[in-house]
Amino acid sequence: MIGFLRRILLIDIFKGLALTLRYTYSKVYTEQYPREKVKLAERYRGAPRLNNDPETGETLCISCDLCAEACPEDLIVVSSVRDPESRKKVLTEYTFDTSRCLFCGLCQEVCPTNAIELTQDFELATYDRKSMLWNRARLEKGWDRIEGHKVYHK
Amino acid sequence: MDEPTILDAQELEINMGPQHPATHGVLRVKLKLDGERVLDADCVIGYLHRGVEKISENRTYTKCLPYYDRTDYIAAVSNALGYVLGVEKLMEIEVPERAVTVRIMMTEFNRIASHLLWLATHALDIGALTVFLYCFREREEILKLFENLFGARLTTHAFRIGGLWMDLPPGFEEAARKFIDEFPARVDEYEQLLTNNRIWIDRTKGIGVISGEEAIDYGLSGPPLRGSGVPYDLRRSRPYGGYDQYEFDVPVGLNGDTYDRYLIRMEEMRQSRRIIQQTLDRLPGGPIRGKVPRIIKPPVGEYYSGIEGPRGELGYYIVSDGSAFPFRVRIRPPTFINLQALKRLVKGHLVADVIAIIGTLDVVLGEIDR
Amino acid sequence: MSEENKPPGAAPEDQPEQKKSGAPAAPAGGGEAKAAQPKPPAAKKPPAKKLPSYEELTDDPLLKDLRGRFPNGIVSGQSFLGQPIYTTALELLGDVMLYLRGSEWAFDYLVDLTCLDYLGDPKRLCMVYHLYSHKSGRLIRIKARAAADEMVPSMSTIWRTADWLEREAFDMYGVEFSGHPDLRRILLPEDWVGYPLRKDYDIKLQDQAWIRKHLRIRKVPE
Repeated sequence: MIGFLRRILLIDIFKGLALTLRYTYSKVYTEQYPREKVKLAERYRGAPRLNNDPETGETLCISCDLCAEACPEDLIVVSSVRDPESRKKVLTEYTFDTSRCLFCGLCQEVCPTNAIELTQDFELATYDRKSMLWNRARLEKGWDRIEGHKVYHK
Repeated sequence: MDEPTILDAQELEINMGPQHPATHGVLRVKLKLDGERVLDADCVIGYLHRGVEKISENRTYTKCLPYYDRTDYIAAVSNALGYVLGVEKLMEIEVPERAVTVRIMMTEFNRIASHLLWLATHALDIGALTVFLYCFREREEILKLFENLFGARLTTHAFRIGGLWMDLPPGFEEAARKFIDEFPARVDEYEQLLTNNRIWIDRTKGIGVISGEEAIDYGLSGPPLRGSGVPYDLRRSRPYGGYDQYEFDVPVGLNGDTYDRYLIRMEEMRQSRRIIQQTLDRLPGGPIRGKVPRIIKPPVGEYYSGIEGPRGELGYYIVSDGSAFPFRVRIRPPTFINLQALKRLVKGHLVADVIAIIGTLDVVLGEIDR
Repeated sequence: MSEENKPPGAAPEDQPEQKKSGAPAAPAGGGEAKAAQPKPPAAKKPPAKKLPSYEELTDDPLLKDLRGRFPNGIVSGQSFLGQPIYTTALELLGDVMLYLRGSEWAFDYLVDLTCLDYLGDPKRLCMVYHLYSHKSGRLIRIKARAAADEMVPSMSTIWRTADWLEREAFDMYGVEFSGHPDLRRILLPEDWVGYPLRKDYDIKLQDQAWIRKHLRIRKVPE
């Protein structure tokens, strides 16, 4: 009998409606993404960056090639020459193909000097495929400081 | 008279998908209809085939891991767990207690996130829009936890062979506790919207009924199998990765219909929360990564590592030939096998019920096609 | 048509050797002659740490039962990391499976069906079945070796699970199953040429003719 009444009077549907009504006047959960900048976690793996020593401004990369070895997609190419005097490897060029990147973070995991790092930038869309291949200058500058790149959130 | 035309035909063949919002990806179902009634269904899959198994054969054991996030992208953490457990077994690597506990915690978080996404989309398919919004709100909280710990929200690259990438970030435990404290009330809210809702019951009760025996014959696993009353949960039946030390119940259904499978997943979310509670209470200190050789070269051998993913039995059959590359990594995809039963489940139902049945099987096409 | 377009399996010799050899030491023994020999990999273990290895099953009731019932059918019974492996002859595979399902062992659940490719071996394909019994909670692995052109009995009449799994094995390895109701490709397009998971199918190999025909993409010359 009670079950019948519940069914006839749509009690359970009204219970659900009461719940939605309650939420109508509660805090808004959504983030207004393009207008609001998203706060990402410190560990977030986004656009790659090749770090420089903050004091001297020289690159931290020692051209050990470990990142290229660790990359599952083989998208990192490190080229270097050996300095005849100090017998050290000197980085000449570093390319990173973001179009194939899995953002798995294995490159930054193996890096002994924290030179390659995946940063919190994530707006990587470009208008052509060619500009997804990043060279050293671009990697060192960081994604949002490149000329002509429009940062979406203002 | 003349030759029969399409208008005279009693049976009509139509395509559902691959671009159909309710097929959860690129699933194409060829339906043979008599009016609104389904006579037969044939699934066409493979639109998302990327050859993950072939890729694994050409990568080292460590490099394989990110690819498995992309098979079942809703449950990337579970995928990683199955694989690392298999390789650790082959290599006989000891994993520290802290890493084991964190792994279980995150896998259960992933189960909740996956079930939330399932509930959201399943309810959306059937017509309940509100649940979708609420579920995504809670899922967002879990994804934030993933982002803080793993550094990514969806393709997490969660675990490493031998342990974890990094330890829990500061504030993580509090955030996790806050979530699980609030969560039961949220599940009650979903249930308030659906469980006794007349429309929901009419759309799901008695739809896609399969008996336990038949479910086993079709090789179903996960909630579709438990919905038919078979208490097969790998966390219980063949415990792995330390699950034998946790207390939880395995819910089973009675009727094997869509409604029962819905109730089971709701209960599983509560049970997962219970497991997370226990992991947080006992979270030991110590290292997060065991002793792992620099180059991972398992000895010649093979191991089948099966885990209970959110969708059913997820297995990794790893064959090693002693080199640094796996000889074969076979992924036993739970939804690939569950989807096979679609043909049987939809027979005799209406077209609208096909959507409910696809939803209740909780298919993820990334995993079906690999 | 370039070299890429060759159907794999036609000439495995002239394919370049990949990073790893195509034919590793076959673990589970192919054919009767091979199983009698001791395992080659077990001999060259480093003495420092005892690594897991294949062990012969000695006191296994299922192996005894199977050996008694199918004297010619069971090639070997081994275990690796506690997971039992039974290798059967291909001719009796169907009978053994039917017995495992129907008898008191009650392996009613086909967990997985897949295939391995030992390139260079006369019986290059190795069917692998994982069976589980809901009654006893046992998980076993059945293996059977087959040559590339040999018919493998279909399990789809014993377990319905096998239907799609066998289609996948056909798709990826080109295994022909006898008695399968509907054996066609499942993941790849129907008119694709080649079996991608075979070891002589390079990872960069694609059916160029198919791509040209359906996608109208020409391969960029390197």
